Amino acid sequence: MTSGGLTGKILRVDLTAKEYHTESTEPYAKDFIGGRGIATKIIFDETQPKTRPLDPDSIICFAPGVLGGTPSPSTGRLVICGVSPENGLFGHAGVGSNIANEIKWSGYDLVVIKGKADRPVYLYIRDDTVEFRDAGHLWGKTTYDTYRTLRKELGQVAICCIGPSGEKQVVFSVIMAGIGSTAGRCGLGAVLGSKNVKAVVAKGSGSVKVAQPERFLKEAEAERKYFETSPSGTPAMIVGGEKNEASGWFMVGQGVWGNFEACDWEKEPIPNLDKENEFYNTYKKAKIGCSGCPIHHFSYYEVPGVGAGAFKCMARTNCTNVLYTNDVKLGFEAANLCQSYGIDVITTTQLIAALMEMYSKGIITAEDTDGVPMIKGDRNAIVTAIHKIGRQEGFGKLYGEGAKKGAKKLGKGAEDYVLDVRGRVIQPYEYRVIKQHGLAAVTSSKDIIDGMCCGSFDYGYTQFPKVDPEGVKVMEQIGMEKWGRKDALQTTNYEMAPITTVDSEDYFMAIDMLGLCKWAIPNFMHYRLNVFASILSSVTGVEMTEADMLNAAKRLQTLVRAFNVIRGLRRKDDTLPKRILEEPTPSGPLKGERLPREKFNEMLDEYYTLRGYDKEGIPKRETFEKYSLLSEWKVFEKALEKKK
Amino acid sequence: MPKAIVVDYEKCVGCRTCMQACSLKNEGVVNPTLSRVKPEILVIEELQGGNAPILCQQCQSAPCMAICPVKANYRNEETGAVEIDYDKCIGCRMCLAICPFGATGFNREKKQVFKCNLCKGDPMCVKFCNYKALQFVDCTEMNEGKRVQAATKVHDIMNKIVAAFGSGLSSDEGSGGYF
Repeated sequence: MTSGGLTGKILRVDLTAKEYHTESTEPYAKDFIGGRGIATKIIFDETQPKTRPLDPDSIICFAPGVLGGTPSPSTGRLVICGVSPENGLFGHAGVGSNIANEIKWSGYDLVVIKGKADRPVYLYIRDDTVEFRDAGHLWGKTTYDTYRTLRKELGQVAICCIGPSGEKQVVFSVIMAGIGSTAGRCGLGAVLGSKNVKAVVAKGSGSVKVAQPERFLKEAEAERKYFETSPSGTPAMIVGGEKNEASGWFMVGQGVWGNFEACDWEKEPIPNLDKENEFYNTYKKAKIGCSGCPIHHFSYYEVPGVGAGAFKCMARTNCTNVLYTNDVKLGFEAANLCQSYGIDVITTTQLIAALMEMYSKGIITAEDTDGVPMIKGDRNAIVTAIHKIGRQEGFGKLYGEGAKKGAKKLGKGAEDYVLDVRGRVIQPYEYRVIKQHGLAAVTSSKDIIDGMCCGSFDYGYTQFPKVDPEGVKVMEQIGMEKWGRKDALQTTNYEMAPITTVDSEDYFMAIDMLGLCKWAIPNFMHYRLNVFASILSSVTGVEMTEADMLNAAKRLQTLVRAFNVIRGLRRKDDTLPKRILEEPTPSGPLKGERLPREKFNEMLDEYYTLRGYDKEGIPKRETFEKYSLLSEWKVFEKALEKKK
Repeated sequence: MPKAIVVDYEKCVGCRTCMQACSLKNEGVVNPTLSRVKPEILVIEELQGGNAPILCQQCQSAPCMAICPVKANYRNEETGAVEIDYDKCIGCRMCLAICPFGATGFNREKKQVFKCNLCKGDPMCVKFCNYKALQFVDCTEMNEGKRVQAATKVHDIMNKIVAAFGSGLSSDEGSGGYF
């Protein structure tokens, strides 16, 4: 067992029995390291194949990483793991604020929750004590109101909570931490809702040990300083920071408009910098971010008459670009509403976009949406749709069990317009341009964000050297260092997509085991995992290398895949929407660029080979053995036998 | 007192990294309750904002020194910090009660009071603040940044006035001046 980093205790909570106890982290530490690694192993071991995601028996884990609770650069992230009610497969979502640190300072490496409370509760973790407190007065409140109420009642505590949609178990419900960080994908908010848990609150007064404090302080300080001078890769930061994310994507040739439809990139209404800067200057109140982060790259806004909250990343791009609008204030309103209800912004907006496209083509009429015409970019359409979906009223009820399922119920060919992978709506990246993204969107159990090669995204600068000519050189350098090829990260490159996908997925798994940020590390640290291996070693007192961490990551990837295969995943499920594989990129500087089915299949074949899976995407026995998953192989083999 | 920690309240984002770095440096473990610097995150009704790092001001007429019944506090002449002699300290916690900033703390396990000693002249909190909310500067230069800011604003305004009213306000001999 380590002499730092890990606390040595896993908190087990049984909501049905209203009981809790701790167990040792030791059996898991060597092979599964921490964070998402240990959570994956626990979920693999303890989930019965017949357990459905919203059953009381389903497990949800709150997993800080090994470096959580220490001032390593960009740690303090929490990964929430469970089985997704969207598709019954392994799901996870990351969240920030300060909840991960407070769980560590309370003394726990993980919080594992099972069962179902007999009435609405919130869990209050305070060092050795866990209370199942009555949440009757919180049930029905928005996420923001829940947060504020609990802060008033309990003081300076860390809070994550669900909104009314999670209570109603809408399968794409989220868990919000603090006032703006959201564990958005995989519908884990519905899992908490099904357990009658409104919030998880933590406040610790304990310690996280560091084995070699002098070494750690020196290395952590140096790495934190590196962030200040690092040439960042994202168009967002280069163009103007998080306030310009929406237009930044168009400036580097990778914007997606509406439901992946055409638009004229030179003219309105695509996002523009002026509108974004005006919104920022008028309404920004404070910079916020995760505890311990050196960059705090997003802001808290207050718009009178509309609301207050964070507005960044996918919420920003989805609530403007995808909703066919460049009205930033409207985008904020949409994002704020989604957040209040606690529904996934990506799913909700892409679904609305699908309805808007169908309305514009006369496939549906206003009758299909309770008399509200789904006009592209129209405020009434957007706001009404979010209210209905969030409250599960009117036409919104159709989509509670999933955007795709709802579209099937709607009929009229609507399901072809909802763009999903395995029941989860896709994120607005132009997969037809960035080939690697097309592959990663499918191979990860979560979605593209778990395997996207940020370098490939950033290499888009080659299309726009005027945006950042230096950035191109950085990407070429990384390509040479990591993969021996200057063009390794080149956006339209098929050849390098499988290996960069494998490496990115492993990299992100390693990051999630340590509790680091998957935005900051790839973009500011440029894959310097060796740095974190050293910091990790100084914390735990056990020397680990980058190779050790990646080996553990590969072990976990095999385990996740095995879990999903037991639950029915096969090659036929690893595919992209028809629109992406059959239609060309509709506009922009790379108009016409395609991702043909045969090329996609070639990339997938290569990916399976690299991962040690067979042609059906099933991990081979020798792969289990390679990663010392011997007892897991027996479980896997037996489970597959049972199905025959 | 040669140098002091200066707080720029507008720059603090409330990340609490300072607390982690401080406790690790001074106590050997990461534990914010043992940190000498404590940013209080003010929750104002609708808004989470307004972060204020509270630290020991190393007061010249330190109330903690005046109140101590056994004179356990003393001034480190080199750093200017008020430090505690634990051989004399009886743990009565009057220094906690009297400090107007609430900057002293109590370690439950060691059963001792603690306070900031500027890490003997190389404060760790400053090194870990990537936002420059905490800076370690020469006492004589503490306000220099603010004076430069103020001077810049005044200069900008005067230039606009000169531009609006023409050269009547400027001297015949010199250029670039309104004096």
